[in-house]
Amino acid sequence: MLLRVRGLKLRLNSKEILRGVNLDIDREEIHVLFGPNGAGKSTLLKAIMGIPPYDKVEGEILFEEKDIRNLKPYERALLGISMSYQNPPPLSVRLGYLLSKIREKYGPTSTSASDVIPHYLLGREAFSSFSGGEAKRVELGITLLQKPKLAMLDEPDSGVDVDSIKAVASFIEKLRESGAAILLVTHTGYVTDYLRRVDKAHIMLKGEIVCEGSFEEIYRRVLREGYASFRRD
Amino acid sequence: MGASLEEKGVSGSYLLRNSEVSLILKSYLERKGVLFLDIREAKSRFNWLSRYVWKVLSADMDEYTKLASEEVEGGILLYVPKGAKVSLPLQACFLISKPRWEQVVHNVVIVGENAEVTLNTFCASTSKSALHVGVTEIYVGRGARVNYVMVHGWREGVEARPRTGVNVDEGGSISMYYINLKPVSLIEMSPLIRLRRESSASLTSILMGLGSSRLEVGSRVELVGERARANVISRSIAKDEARVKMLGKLTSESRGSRGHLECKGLQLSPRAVIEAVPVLVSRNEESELTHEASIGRLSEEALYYLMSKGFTEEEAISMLVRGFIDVGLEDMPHTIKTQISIILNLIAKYGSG
Repeated sequence: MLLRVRGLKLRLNSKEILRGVNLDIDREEIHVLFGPNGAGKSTLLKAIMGIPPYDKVEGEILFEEKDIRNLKPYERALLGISMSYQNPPPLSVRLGYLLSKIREKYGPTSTSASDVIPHYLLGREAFSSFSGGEAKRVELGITLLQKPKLAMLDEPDSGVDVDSIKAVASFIEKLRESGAAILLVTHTGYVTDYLRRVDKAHIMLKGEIVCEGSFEEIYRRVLREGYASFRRD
Repeated sequence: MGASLEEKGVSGSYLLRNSEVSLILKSYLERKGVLFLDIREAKSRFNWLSRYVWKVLSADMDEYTKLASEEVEGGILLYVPKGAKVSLPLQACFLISKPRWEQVVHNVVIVGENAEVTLNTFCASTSKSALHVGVTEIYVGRGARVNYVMVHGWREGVEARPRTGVNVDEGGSISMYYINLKPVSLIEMSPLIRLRRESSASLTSILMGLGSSRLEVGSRVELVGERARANVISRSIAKDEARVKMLGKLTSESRGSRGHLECKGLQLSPRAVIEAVPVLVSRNEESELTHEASIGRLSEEALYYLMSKGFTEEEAISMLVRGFIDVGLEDMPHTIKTQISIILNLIAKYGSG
């Protein structure tokens, strides 16, 4: 198993944000994590990446059978875990410089960044001067350059137009072709319409994964009945 | 640092060690009529120099200009005749190696109509206790272009009080780029730039405050001619117990003139102090002056973002500091950009510890 999460609990300001999450992802699988806003999806990704804030974390996070809970975010990244931010923060660093540092760190890739990142953005500051679509595209391009074993993508289809969603889907296909397993977080599922294959879906509500199974069945139910139908009694 | 000791990629070099001079000028420049020589020799040889000297700065401005008007130990005259384009930069290095030395220099740069030149100066000390007074007068002719880079790499115990005055004639332009990269007791300077009709100035200061350094650095720009333009940018980083004051004053006196002043500070230690003092004075209702100032620390969110991309905390800090100081180089020649880049990388490294 590539990633195994067991009984993951996370508290922030004494409030339980994750309440015993279990999740298994095997190599080269594509998983979709559905859930409404505030369900804890982004927090789960951050916890796997090791990004605070949190007061306390309990449970297990195993990556390639190794316990990574005490590793720093950069150590997790170098093991092959990457996280594509929903809204990357302003960095006061020009994109060209950032990409050159990423390339130094991870070495050459079969996919050139110029294939996926428009050249005109290179001289601009990441990410403050980018539109929503540009930021998503750049963030996914960086994920590709990292050559991850597990790519966690946080709402890459939110707040962008149809053309950008298609572009996001083609990034995900490129990541899949490179051999990465993918954990795709979305609350609309729009991008999945353009993906060739999705292996599994999970529904997250109030800090718990309440349902998992075949993507087609779960997505149909989400579209038909909404998230409320998954609530536990 | 900031100078090419092999003298590759430069048109000429001047080295002043305490008061001893060595100087090289590429012969093709002499044939073009470019003069590059020690100021003491220049003053004794060229009577016409008196038409320029102490015209943009007053010898009575303060005790340091007075000192330089009475006796100097070196400095350069750089004269570029009308229309001459000097493609490779000239460099002047001012070194202090003797203890308790007072180095008083006077530089005069005269650039004729439509001429172009880049001057790179570097000042350093191996002595623990010294005073450097450097008076620099720059006269930019009509339509001429000057790039002036000044790098300070002093050490604790040194006081530096440069005094710079610049006059830019109609349609001329100057880009000044200043970096301080090492600890120092005091740097106190505020160049005066006088802009005539349709001339422009782009001034950038990168101030690294380390140890117990006290830096009081700024620019005073007078937009005296119609449609003159000025863009003044300061970036300061303060660590340890450093105290950094970013000063800036824009005065508009003419129709259609525009000036922008930007001071940004990055505080990397709780004991350091940064102060921004931007001043705008408008004496013409048809001019436009703006300023922007901010002081803060590195964003934790940005640090974690970079760490999630595989960078250690030190690497992430270094990258963010490098990005913070990556300004003002757009118009500089390629050779200078490469040298400055090396210095900025070093500052980023200091910034991360």
